[in-house]
Amino acid sequence: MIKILNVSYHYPGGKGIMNISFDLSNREFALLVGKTGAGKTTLFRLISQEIRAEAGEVQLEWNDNRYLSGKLRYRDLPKWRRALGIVYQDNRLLDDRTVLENVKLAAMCDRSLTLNPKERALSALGLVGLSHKPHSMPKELSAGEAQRVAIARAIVNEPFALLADEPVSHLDKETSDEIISLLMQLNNAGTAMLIATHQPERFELCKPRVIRLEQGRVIEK
Amino acid sequence: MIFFALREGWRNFRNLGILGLLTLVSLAITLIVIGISARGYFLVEEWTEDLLGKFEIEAFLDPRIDSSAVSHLQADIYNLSEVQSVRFISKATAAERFERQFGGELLNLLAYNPLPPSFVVTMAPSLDPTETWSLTANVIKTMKGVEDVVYQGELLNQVQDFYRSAAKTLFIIVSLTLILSFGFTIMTVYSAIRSREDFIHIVLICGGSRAMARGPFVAMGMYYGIAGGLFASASLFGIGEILLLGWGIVADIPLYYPAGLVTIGAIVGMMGAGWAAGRRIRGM
Repeated sequence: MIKILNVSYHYPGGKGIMNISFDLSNREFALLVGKTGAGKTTLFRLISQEIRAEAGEVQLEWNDNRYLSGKLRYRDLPKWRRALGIVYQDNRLLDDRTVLENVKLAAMCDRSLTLNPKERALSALGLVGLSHKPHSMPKELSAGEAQRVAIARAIVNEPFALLADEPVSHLDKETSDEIISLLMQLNNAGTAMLIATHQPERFELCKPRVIRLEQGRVIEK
Repeated sequence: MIFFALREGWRNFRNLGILGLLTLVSLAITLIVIGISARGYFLVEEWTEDLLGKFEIEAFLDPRIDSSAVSHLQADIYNLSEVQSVRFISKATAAERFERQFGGELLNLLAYNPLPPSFVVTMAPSLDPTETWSLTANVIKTMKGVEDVVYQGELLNQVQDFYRSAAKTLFIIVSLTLILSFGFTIMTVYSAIRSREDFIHIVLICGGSRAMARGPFVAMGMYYGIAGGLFASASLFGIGEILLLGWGIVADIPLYYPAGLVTIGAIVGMMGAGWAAGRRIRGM
């Protein structure tokens, strides 16, 4: 479970988020909806602890683990981040390595899992339907395939929740549906989903809970 | 983790382009300066020791001294610390040496041998020869049977001053070069790391530790240091063989020099890269 408790953060220019609170239960599928600048990405960065909240707390609970962002020690930060899978709009694949190497790099960040990183990377690529392209370079992939690789990288360490920032906004309808279908499969398999989007209609099939942001505030949850 | 760092570091090392070249050149220039300075320092030290080895203290004895007193005196002088050897020059030997140097006419004219017997004392190498030699000469002077003691004190002072000033200059050159190079290495590695921020971000956001994100850059610094060391060694040998052979500065460089330069390069590269990567990663 992810709990956002009265979280605020301001950028020097004045924008940011103000006093936001909501929960994301295990296995839940939620959309974070809002226009550009509403604070969706800021919220993701706060959840992943790329930035620290000025006020309020983020709480993560999974299996027997419970961490509060305010009391998070630096040595626990990798564990916190491994509990979350993150997918970016621009996928952020490393161009100087193959698909398999991109996913394996993430897998190497968690040595506590039983299978070795390569086996886990191949398994994650299988889940996203790309087991036939492990040695392709990111530049050789279509936009949809690249996003699938980004998803494989995000799930390779078996996170309890996946945060995806505008995962389909730059994809055509057909490819977008494929990616959404993949996200639904992962959700059905037990991974909670928090998807930031300004196109909620694309996710109608998932019957998601909608958390609506406007000018840094939650106006519906 | 080490293999990961070495492998990723190698990937960075190969892919950095102009920034990598700058890092390599800065490290290589540093190591060349260190190599030449170190070689120069050891050569100055060798020259100084060689020169000091030719200096002697000469103690002139009472002409009436008997052979038993000579033996005792010789043993007493030999027992002084810093004295390496004591050679006795009898009146007859002194006359022979005089004749060899200046001809026999003067001695023949005098019809007797006015030259006193003496001891020629050679000294062991020491950190402060001027002080040691002066002290030893004064002690010998007070010994019974010794009439006078002479040595090239002024020349000794000059040699020692030259040695000290050369060592100081080389030390300053090496220190400044090291500081400049360290700074330049950090700057170039810092820029290199900026160009690989995507890698650092992905490692950290996927739950990798800071050490995991920093390790490849430390390894990259090591590779640059090793490459810089090899380049510097090749340059030093090349300069020695082609340009400066006659100067004797870098000719006949011992084989442990390349190993030393490569090691210094690797240490400077690792420290610079580790520091720069640590600063870059902090707060991510």
